[in-house]
Amino acid sequence: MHSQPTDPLERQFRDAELRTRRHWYEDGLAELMIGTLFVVVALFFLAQDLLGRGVAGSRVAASLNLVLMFVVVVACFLGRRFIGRAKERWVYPRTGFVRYARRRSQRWVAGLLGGAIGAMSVALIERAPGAEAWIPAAVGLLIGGFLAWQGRFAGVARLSSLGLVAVAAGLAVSLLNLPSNQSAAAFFGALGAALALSGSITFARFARQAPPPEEP
Amino acid sequence: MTQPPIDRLLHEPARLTIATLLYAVESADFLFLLRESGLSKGNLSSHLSRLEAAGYVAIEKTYRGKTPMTICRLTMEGREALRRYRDQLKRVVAALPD
Repeated sequence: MHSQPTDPLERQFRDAELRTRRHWYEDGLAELMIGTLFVVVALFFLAQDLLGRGVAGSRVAASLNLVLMFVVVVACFLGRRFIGRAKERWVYPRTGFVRYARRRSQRWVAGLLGGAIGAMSVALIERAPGAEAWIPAAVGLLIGGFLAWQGRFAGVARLSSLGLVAVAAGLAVSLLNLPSNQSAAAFFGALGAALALSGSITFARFARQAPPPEEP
Repeated sequence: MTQPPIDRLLHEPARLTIATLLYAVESADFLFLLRESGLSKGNLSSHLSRLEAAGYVAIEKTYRGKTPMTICRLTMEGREALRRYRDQLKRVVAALPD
């Protein structure tokens, strides 16, 4: 995945860096929680589709939009802290605690990704009516690219595979050409389920391989 | 021009492993270093003490909930020493005849 330095000391530095980055992903909790959030987002879109019909329905849909925005904003702000708490309970006692140096580049990438998804969706809807069917494909490509980049950054192959799943889910949903709420529900539901499943399997394996410490 | 001597403290493989692991993070606890370095508890403890005595590593004993934790961090001096060691070794290797 990475070009290996020929110098043994450089290799040792690169290896140490990769091992510490991989440590964050070895329990699968981050995927499990992000996957669960995506499933919740999918349920909101599904509820909007089911309840948002008619005049009264449009009010329900507007309220659901607000609740969804609130959930996503809260998840963005508290997500990492929430994952940290879960790790504190289940991971650190088994495999140790690591505090990572804050990387501005990662925050920039996440911010740019969010901005790109929003701008692209608006541009597609505004400028090319009918092109909104391709929003899931474009969003899948962006999320897939992000997951592949994370997989490469941390040397975790399953994240790159999940990136492929994101791209495939986006394309498949776009080709189905569903109404917008159903299409968003199908995309986030499928990707969320894949992430949550991968996270659960990884966590189960982690719990088996790293048993809890014995009581003193 | 004569080269400054290689840092013997970091030249020892186990201590170099500990230092490179800590170089990649802000801080890590004893359990993480134990798992990743593959050293025994006693060995890791004694190497950490030597690195701490040299001012390369700062060790803090704390609690996370009710669990005692030993948090280790490479000091600025330790980071600088490791960078110096890396450069020195590169120069030594580059100066070797083909």
